[in-house]
Amino acid sequence: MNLNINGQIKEFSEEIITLEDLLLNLNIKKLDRVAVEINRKIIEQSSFNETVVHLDDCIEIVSFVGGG
Amino acid sequence: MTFLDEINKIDLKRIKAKIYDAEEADVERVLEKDTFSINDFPVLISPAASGYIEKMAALSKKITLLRFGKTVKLYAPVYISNECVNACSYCGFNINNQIERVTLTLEEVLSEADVLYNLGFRHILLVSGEEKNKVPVKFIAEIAEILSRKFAAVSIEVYPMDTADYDFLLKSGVTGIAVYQETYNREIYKNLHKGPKADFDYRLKTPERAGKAGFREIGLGALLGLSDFRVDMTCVAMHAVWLMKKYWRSQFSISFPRFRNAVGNFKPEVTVSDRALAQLVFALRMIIPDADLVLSTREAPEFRDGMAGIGITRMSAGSKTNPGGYLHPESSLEQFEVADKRLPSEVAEMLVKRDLEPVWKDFDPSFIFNEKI
Amino acid sequence: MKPLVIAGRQFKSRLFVGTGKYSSPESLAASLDESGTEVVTVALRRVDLSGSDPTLDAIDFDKYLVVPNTSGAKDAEEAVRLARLARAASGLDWLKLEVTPDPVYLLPDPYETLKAAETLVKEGFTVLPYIHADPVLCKRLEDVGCAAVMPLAAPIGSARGIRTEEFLNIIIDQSNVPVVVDAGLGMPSHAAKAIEIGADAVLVNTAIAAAKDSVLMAKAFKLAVEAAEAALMSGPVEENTQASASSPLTGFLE
Repeated sequence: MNLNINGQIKEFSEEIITLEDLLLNLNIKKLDRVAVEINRKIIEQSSFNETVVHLDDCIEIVSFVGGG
Repeated sequence: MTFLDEINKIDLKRIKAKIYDAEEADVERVLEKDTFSINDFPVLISPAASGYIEKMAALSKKITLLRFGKTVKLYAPVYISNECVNACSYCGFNINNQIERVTLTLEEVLSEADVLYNLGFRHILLVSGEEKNKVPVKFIAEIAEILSRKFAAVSIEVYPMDTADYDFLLKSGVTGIAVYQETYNREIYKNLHKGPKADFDYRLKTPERAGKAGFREIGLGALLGLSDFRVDMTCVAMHAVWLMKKYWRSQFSISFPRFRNAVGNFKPEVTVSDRALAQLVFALRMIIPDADLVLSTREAPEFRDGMAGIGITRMSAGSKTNPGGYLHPESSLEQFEVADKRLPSEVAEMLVKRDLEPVWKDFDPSFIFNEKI
Repeated sequence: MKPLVIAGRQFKSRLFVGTGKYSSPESLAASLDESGTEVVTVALRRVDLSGSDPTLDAIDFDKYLVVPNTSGAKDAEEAVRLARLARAASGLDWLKLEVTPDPVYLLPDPYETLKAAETLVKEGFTVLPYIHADPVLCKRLEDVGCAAVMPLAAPIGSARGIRTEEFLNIIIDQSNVPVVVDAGLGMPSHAAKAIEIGADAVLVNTAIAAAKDSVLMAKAFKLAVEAAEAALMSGPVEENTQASASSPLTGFLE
């Protein structure tokens, strides 16, 4: 299925069901330092493994970088 | 967080020591600074600094010129009533004093105000004792509602009130509140007051309630002579500094009521000399450049003239301190004896001669858009 | 000197350090360590999906209080959104509120900042707003509940030192919350000056990150801030600038 991740359309296999699946598939480590919005709604870290991702979802994945 | 928390932490004895232990070397060190703060105040008002009064006057004059220019604002009081439920040892309106009690009617207050208006005043101060049955909040509001149409500023110096009453009065046209703590020494305060005014804490927090309500002007002071006047003045300064940081939208003024004889013959602990009072004014100007410093007609002409423009920025003139005093001067006993009996026009003339502009009106309500306009 | 307490938390170091623009994560980590700081700022960005960002590894979230900034936000709405994301990512309430619609000088928008601050304080954030050295704006931010104010010394990254001294003086005099001078500090002496005029802390990023030897510069800033602190505590002799009075103003008192 297609998902919009950080502004880019990407294709994922149907085996990706939960948000946690997605993040691991994207090779994102440090899940405790990541914030996710699905369709502009923030998903709590504790819900990553319960939240289901759907076709055409717009997903923003952000984390910290250096800044002043 | 209220100023009450601050005052409860303060050790008046330590302040007293700071003041009276100060030496000339300390004064000289402070006077060399660029700017002055509340921490410098005890040294500046110390007896040790008395010899430096000319230098302090110069500093005070310079700061006054920078912040206020060559202006002195004028106002006058209207006494609404001399009824009072309190028995304060030092006051002419003490409930136990056998004086004729008068409370003006609305018409009478308005007539008194008219006299002032015709003399040129546009800033008026309504004064009364504490008698909520004779002078309820509603009455004050009624007066303010009418007077605020002619006077640019209507201040009140009456009994302390709750925030709700202040909100109501603000809407009714009152622009300023003056409330003096009299003395910040709890012990002495307790001995001097009987009645509702005996509530030290409630009175202390009054300027905060006024600030919260949003009054443009808030006046502070202590009755100098009730306790150690230098310690009391330091408390006034601390109170002002604290309030100005919190209620930064309000203009604060400080008055210097110096004890004068009133009915009842209360004898003050200490008399405050002219020189000492001048020193207090200069020191305050130095540490609080933006507060209005006020001398009323309690003070003698020569003193007021000398202080105008070198620290003092507001003065009353032609005051009558008894209800109905403008239309019927002999009618009742004054709250305190007026020392400067000059006509307002004479005071204004004096100011002009000293290259100062007498300001009768420094604000206009039409600057603020509200429902009244 | 008053101890540095923000939102009930006390800090020993008055030097806060930003984590952007370093040459490497190693340099960043070593600089932070050398600076003795307890508070570092970070930004929030989309995760790079092509690889992982090593910068994050360089910042020890247990050692430092990590305060995310909302850099990139052009208005209050974006700032609030970033703030919520930052909180979701870190679990912490602390926030450096930064709303800079102007990409050239990165000057903060006062109106949007105040709007965002009001919303964020209500949502339980500990808000440290970055603003111009505007005394009235600082009082407004204090009134809506910000835990501190962070007025700028000069534009971000300009290293021009304190260009807003007159106004910082007023802010420091009038503020009931800690004042952290942020942005534009270029040399340790600037930081020392900020503390000497009464600021509670300073935030430094570019000056350390872009120095040839960041670690050494971090140390220099640390020493400067400590020096200023010690100087204030030592009860310094005041400058002598007063001329003597001439004509008698107080003759009437005789």
